[in-house]
Amino acid sequence: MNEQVNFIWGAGGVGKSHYAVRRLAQAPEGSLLITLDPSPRIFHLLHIEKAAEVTPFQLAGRPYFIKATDADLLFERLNQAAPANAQVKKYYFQLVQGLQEFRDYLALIQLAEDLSQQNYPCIIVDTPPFHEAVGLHHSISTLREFFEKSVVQLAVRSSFMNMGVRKVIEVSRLFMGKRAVDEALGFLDWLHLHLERFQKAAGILDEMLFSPKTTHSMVLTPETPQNYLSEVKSFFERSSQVRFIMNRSVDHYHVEGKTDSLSHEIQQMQKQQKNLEENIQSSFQDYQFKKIPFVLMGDDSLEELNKFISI
Amino acid sequence: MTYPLHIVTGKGGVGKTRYSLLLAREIESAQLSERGQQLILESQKIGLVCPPIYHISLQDLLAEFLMGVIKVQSLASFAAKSKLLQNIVRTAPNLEELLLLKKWKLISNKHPLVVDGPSTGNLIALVESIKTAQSMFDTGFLRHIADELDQAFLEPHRIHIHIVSLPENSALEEMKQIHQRVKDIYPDIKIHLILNRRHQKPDAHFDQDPELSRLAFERPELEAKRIATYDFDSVIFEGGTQLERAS
Repeated sequence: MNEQVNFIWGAGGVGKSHYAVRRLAQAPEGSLLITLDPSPRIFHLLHIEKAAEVTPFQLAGRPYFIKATDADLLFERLNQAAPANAQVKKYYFQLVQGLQEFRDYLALIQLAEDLSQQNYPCIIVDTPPFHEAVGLHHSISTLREFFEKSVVQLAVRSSFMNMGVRKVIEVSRLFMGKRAVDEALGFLDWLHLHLERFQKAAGILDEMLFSPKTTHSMVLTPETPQNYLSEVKSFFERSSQVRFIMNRSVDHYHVEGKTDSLSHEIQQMQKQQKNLEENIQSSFQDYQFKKIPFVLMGDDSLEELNKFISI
Repeated sequence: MTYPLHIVTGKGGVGKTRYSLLLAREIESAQLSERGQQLILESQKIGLVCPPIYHISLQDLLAEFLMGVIKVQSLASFAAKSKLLQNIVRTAPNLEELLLLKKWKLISNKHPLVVDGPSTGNLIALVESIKTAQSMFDTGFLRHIADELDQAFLEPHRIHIHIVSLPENSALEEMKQIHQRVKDIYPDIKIHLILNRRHQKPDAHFDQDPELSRLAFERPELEAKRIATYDFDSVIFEGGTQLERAS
């Protein structure tokens, strides 16, 4: 059983990948970093090849593990449990390409399965950039609902299927053509074979997300919009351990009364940072707060990364 | 006569909303479209008068789509409220994107339109939705929509993609990737590259503590190295509200 799980959240561009690596470096040797981010950003930072299987690597001279969630790998696992025909496989990968929510769900299912099977002293979870700010939180909280109440259940060809729903599906043929609807229904039939597995994964994730052993770290910068906090508030209120990280903090610069453009830029950011910190204080209880000072970065070298880890 | 449709994209946090506003200001009689509510907030922040904005919801998209088949407005609007139908649209790959593109194209039949668009991953889904629909649907109304959109994307200067980036490695890398992906699908489409928040060196009399001086002088140099191989159409300097044509 894993000792501790740390989720790292944040909008695009706040330095989430950098912070996830930094957290890992602070965790015991042999800990695992799982990235749900479809971009290979974190692998670029670490100068290693993107890997869907657990891969050992060295960070600041210590051994750790890393893996990415991967739609192809999950499909292989599902296919082993219940083989899919060529049409279903095609539909699956079209959904992976075309539907953000579906990609999120697949990543979460893989995450839940990995977390329940693996044993590491600590697991850091690097989440993808939010989709419309709420993003993955919403996906997590509706994951169970998705597989219990959604069209997946409703559209299955069973004797209990609601006649009205069947009519809607038939009418869909007018818009989509017979082939497309038959493919969609074929896919849903196949998906239904794995429903119990998905429901189990959703249950594991739901339980683990708000366990006392799970920490949620939200990475912010002075430029994070104020309304962002209200969008994530209900999720974090359920969490036992919450940590806010102010990355690129600028409050250590002395620029009062100065009028050049750089000082003006920093003054604006200091104001925003102060407002954000006050907002956190008034909106949340029982949290940790950490600042990482702004550091000029840019070459994405390992040297630079090691420097960031040790600030 | 039709007008150009401008779709603005880029990594999260690069300044798509601000650029959308500045671009709309440049284009005569342009209007704006967004999925969220950021345009008004941003226009207030930078002191720009905001042109008319189209807010488009899934229900709106579905209602218009159903009108194409049912042909009775009241029935189409009623059916569009159905959560089941909305779920079907959400669950079908690329369907929502297809309907969104159709809506934007329709609006740009009457005015130039600037869309404060999705971040890069979702822009790809948007552009791919046309080809996906053409491969999935042999017949039917959706196939017809996909074919019309395909024609629009092939028509010179009808669709413009604007990719915004910051002078930072991850944003630049993402810009390069999406540029390539879009060109792979539509090789002749017009793509504009925009650099936001470019920093300029202070003048020689800049008098600050060593740490700030270092930041002031080194940051623009670092940025210049990172962007050296990119061919930007426009630049927005840090704190600026003007689009500067890149030399």
